Amino acid sequence: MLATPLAVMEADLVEQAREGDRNAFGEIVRSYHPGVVNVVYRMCGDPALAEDAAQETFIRAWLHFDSFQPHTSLRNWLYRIAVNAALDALRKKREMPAGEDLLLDPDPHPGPEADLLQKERTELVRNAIGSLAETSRAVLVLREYGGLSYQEIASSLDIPVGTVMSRLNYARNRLREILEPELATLESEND
Amino acid sequence: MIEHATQWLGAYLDGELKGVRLHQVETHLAQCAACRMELEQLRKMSALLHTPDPSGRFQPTGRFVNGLMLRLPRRPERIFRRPAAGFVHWLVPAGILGTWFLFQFALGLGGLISAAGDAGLLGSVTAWLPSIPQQTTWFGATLNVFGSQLGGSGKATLDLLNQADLFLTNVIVLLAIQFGLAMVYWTWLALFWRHQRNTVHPSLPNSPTSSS
Repeated sequence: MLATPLAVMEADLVEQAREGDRNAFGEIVRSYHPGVVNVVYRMCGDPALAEDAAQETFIRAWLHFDSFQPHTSLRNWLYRIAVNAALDALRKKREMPAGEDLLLDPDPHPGPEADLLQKERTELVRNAIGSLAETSRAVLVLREYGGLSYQEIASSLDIPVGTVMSRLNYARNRLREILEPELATLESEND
Repeated sequence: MIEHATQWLGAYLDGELKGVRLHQVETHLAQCAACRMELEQLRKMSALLHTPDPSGRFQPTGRFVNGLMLRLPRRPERIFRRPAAGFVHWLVPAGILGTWFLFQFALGLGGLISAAGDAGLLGSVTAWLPSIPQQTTWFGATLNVFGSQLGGSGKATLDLLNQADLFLTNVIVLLAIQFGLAMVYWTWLALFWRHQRNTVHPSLPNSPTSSS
């Protein structure tokens, strides 16, 4: 299979970053920041925590870049670190005394009336995802928001493809139960 | 014909089904209104999960990168970090194993030649080889000093002790060499294991792999 120019460019950046080139690593961060921050946000459910977890993800990646195998997917590797960084951030948050449940934190910037419904919906989705077990949540987030294939999720999380499928089914069934009223509202809005 | 395709609908929606299974699910969907409705529900839920896009809630990528670059720590120097070092450290076990095989081969060959020589099969061919000592230093000295005073049984006992000493010395030397090689090999394995554990660290800790 022929490598695309983008893939070749990324391979060069990876090689340079492995050698300790910070600028090359910066370019890699620039490419993967949106995806990583989306994954950690969906895992954490809190923007501030997600920012910290995203930063932690890239710092871990930088410190351990020599363990990355160049012939494998950089995105999968980063997402795997991101999932773990997000879970660590959540655990740290839970261990903090007098900490509120971050998944129930309201949006700090409430907008006009018209946005209220959208904000409520966001909260519902956020809380529904947050209520899933970590293992199912990781699989769901990597599929829905990371866009990874089952095989990629399996290799990212070190689990069999069959487990990916069963966890995804479990997560979706659970989300459907929780979001049933919202789905019904959506349907009536569209009718 | 499958009864209901419920368990495969998620994978179908994700484009993960192929071949016979894909055909089975498609055929079933064409005939089963309940599964079509189920699929539609899954689609709607997926759409709901994606609204709204949270990207506006985060700092822009450029600012994030600049902030990260300022916080990026010095990367620690590691053993075996470069590919060249990795290649060199693989030479260690290869060298140890090679030495061990060479040692075993030489030992086996020596034994064969010695046995063939003792049986007279090699004639004078092995005359140039250094002869294996047949007596220990203490045995020679004892014979020199007390040889004339020793009776037949005394000499036989002394000879037996001499042979036992020669045998044990050989065995101990052989064991010491093998033990030494094994120790070097296990030390290398321990270092390698520690290195592997360190290098895969960012991916492995807290990996959410337990059952859901």
